[in-house]
Amino acid sequence: MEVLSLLWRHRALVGVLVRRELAARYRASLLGYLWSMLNPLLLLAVYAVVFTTVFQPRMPGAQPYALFLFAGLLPWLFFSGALLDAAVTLVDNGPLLAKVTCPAEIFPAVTVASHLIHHLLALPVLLAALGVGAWLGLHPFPWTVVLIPVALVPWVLTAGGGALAVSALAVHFRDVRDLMGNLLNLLFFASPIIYSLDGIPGRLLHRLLRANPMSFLVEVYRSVAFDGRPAPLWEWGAAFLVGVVTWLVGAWIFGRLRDTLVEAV
Amino acid sequence: MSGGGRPAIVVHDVWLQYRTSPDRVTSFKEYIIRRLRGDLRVSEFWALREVSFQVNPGEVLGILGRNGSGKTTLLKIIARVLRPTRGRVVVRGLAAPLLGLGIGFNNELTGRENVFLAGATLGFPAAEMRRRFDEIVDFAGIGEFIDMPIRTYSSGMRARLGFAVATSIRPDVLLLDEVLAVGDLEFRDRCTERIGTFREQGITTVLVSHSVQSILDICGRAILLDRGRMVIEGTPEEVVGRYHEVLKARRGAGTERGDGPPKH
Repeated sequence: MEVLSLLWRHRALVGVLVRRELAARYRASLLGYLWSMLNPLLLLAVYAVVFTTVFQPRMPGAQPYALFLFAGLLPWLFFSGALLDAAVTLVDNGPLLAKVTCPAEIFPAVTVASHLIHHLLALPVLLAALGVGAWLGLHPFPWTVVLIPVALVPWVLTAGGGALAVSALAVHFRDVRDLMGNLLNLLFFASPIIYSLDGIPGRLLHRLLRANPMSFLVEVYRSVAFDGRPAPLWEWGAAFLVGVVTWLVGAWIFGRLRDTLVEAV
Repeated sequence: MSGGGRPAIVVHDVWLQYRTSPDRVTSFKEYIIRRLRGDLRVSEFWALREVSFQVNPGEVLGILGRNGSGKTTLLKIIARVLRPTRGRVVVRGLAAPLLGLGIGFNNELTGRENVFLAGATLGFPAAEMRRRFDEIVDFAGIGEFIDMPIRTYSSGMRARLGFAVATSIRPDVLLLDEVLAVGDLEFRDRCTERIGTFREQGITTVLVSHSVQSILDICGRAILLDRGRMVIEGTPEEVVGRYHEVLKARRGAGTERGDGPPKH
């Protein structure tokens, strides 16, 4: 948890960097910050159309499918976006890193923080879509959405640990970003985002997919953001455990490489 | 803030080793393959060896040495950008490093944005920097260029803006790396004057240079580095004298490499 105190001590810098990252993304667009609402909205619209008219997946507990998918996809976009950006953050901030007395952890942390803000900005779209779904009588409104902040904690820990490791490795190895892209693709399909584990035929495949640590995070989040019934406690425990372990491993890798970073960027 | 007679900077038996791979392994794939084959070569290079000195509050210390003697590395360690492989460094209070020409300036951002970014890296929120802003622009003397991207600046302008920001916050320790070398005479005079004011206020300055003149002009004490070792510590005149001897000896010896015994 020393990273938290680190971020607090350097909060002036963190504030500037997060604001810069957010501004850089939206500066060129006329809609400015509204863009971050529009993007998930368009995504939702596409899913709604495609999965009600073109494909009609019959997955138990996954109706309406567009909402089910959206609730699974949102935290994933936060996670994968943060990891992909983490791969370039230290190289991009090289001049700062090499000339300033600030701890290098700040940069991956800022990446995760700015993606978390994107995610939070997209939540109103999810809530509105759930509201519309309930109004149309398709799906009762899940009041468990108030627990989304809790379900996000393991996501933030996992993304944070992953970002620490990826950012430091990417300084030394230029192909880490490509590797990350491939790994994330694999992980995406191995996680119950576009399907639900209940709908998987065959016990072997079911077990195999269960072994993917990300599946706990996806299920826990979606249980409060879509199902309306929080996942069993053990699954929350598993999700938090995944978060803490990833965090510790990421911090360890970062710590081992820390002294080599300034030279290498 | 003078720490009640305690030194502002303590550098105790500092060693720094650079480890580089001569093969430039830049892909993870290659790293794994080489690792499995046991084919990873690492060359080690000691950039600094057993460097020890102290700087008292309000002192202006010069670090003199040829290119590649470890001056900048030493300054980076004092600035805590690099961590020593061995040894201990204590810096009391807030250190404002001016390594290279800027304080971590971002080329794409305007001068104005960079002032706030640099302030933030030193722990000063935007509100505080806004109060100092006019004074900074005034001292840097860059006029309407303040709203242009830093990449359009000349090296002199960068150095001026960097120096203006680093000194505007009244740090306890000011670390300067060759900044004075790029400014014109008028700017150097103003820098010298400000460093002088700082000295009276008890603010410590460490100046890295290979320019003998700035060491003689500004510093109260100096050290000489050669090949990562401290050769001598003393008055600027003594140190400059020794520097000339080292230069002469090197020229006579050609370009031999390897480490001669340290001369004390």
